[in-house]
Amino acid sequence: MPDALTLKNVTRRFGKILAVNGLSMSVPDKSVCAFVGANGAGKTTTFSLVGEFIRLHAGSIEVFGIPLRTFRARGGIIGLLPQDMQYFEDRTVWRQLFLFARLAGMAAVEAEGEVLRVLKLVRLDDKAGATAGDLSHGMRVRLGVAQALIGQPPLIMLDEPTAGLDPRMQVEFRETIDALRGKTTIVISSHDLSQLQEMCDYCCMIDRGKLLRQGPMGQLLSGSVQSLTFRVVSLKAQLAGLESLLPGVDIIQEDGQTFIVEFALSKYKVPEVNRIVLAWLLNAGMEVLEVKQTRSLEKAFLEATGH
Amino acid sequence: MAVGLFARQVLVLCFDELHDLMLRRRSLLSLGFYFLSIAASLWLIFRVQAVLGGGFAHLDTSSPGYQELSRLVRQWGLEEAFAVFVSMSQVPDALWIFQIFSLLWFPTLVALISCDLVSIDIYRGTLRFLLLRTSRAGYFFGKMLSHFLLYVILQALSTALMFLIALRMDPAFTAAETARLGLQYFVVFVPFIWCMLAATQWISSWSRRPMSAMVRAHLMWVIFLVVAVKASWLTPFWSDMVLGMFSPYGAYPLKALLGYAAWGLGFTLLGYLGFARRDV
Ligand SMILES: Nc1ncnc2c1ncn2[C@@H]1O[C@H](COP(=O)(O)OP(=O)(O)O)[C@@H](O)[C@H]1O
Ligand SMILES: [Mg+2]
Repeated sequence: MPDALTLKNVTRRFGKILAVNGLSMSVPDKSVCAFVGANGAGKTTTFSLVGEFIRLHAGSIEVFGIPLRTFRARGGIIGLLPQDMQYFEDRTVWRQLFLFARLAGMAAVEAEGEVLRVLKLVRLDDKAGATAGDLSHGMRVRLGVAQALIGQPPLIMLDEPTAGLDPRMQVEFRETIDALRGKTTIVISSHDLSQLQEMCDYCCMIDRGKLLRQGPMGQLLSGSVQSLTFRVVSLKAQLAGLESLLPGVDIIQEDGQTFIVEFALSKYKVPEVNRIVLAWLLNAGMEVLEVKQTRSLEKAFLEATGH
Repeated sequence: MAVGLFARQVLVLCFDELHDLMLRRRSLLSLGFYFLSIAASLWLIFRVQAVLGGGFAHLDTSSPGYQELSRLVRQWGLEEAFAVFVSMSQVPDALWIFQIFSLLWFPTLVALISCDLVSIDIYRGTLRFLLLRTSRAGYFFGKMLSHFLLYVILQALSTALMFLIALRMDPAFTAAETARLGLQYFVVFVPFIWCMLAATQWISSWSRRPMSAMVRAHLMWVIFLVVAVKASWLTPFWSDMVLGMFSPYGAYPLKALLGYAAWGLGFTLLGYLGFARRDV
């Protein structure tokens, strides 16, 4: 199966600003891909190019190995949630989704079933009769996701869907994504990396309109700097004692139970650090609850941008 | 496949737009204005009837007065204008008065209702959602078709109404004659509608707000009118075309039919090609 989305040297200017500058990347089929970059990195512009809202100045975009234009001319649909969700404010949720389903080529009866299906998926079926203007922000996001799911598109792109969601809604959003995982390809952009780290299995990082790195999430997280998190029942000894055993390593205490050990992989190997730290802990009579390799997407991103 | 896809998108959008149109305040007000105009033209028709007592239809071409008049017309070189004038006497009053009325207020009616056509989706931000599922052509022509149908149906209904009134008021014309003239008026009016609509849609497609589209549409007609004073053939108000809208004389109706179709096509291409390339 070809990649769901392939960008080759995609370039787009706004006046003198190069919003997307020779961006090449690919998103594997059926992956949940994090599309990350700082504000102004060109994420929304890339989405707009894939949605054919704005013109490409150079490069090419392929969807499942087919040029974007051909894909769409054959009736292919890309589910996309634009960053600024603006709906038909005075129309009911049901009526706008029904229109999208009809445009996606469904007969009226089929379209009704489809609207119900996507509304259930995003838990908005009780709001079918409400006008879009009456929805809360969280519900508007869900309507946007429902809209993107209409017609079961093989590629779904969500631009900053989690911005402004409260923690409970974020969990619900994740559940919706989990329900779709493995059935379709989903690209989610955000500048909030901690959320994406858990939700996504693939990642493309961009900066100033260019690709920094891309790959499976696990691979990106195991970069040149490693960090290990240790959790014990209670920290009894001073961490300074441990530091003297591991020169050149950063040790950060999180709370009375947890501390993080960070080191360059060029200096130490993970088993070596584990051995020294665990020996020290056991010697001092501390009971170990958990040892975890942690490397945040945020750190990987900062490292990739060279900050 | 591609044709079926296009046709489906056009039809779905067309009916959605018609549905929406019936709920929009400005379009309802404009339709009210439309019915007022019909009422006004009816009133005028009755006044003309009362004053002329049977209208131009009873111009007697064998009377000495007519002979004298045509001699003067020849002397002043006004044969063409006179022929047009006389040709009007071969149309029931209700029909030509209403036709001239329609010509006067249609550009405004179309500008009022259709300034929304594309700009409303740009303004409220819904264009992107629609364009995810329809081609630009499907969107553009679906929208155009909806308003085109609206105006054509309105004009067909009102021309039919005028036909009935003419039958009652102008017994000098047979039903067949009246029907033929009414039909001719309607047929030349269809490309006129297209021209007005396409021009308004073109403006609507690059205006960010419905209101500015409406103002610009009116401005465009004013500019055309000003140009028309100097060189009317450069504008959709070329006198031969405008005459052909109501005078059945000579080649005028054909000029109107083809002329407005050409302008309609031109505005449509201008609008579509611009819209197809534009960032939304
Ligand atoms: N319509 C536009 N006109 C002018 N500049 C724009 C426009 N859209 C985006 N930009 C510029 O392009 C760059 C990338 O923007 P954007 O794609 O929105 O970034 P992101 O979504 O990653 O925050 C920014 O510098 C932004 O100011
Ligand atoms: Mg953005």
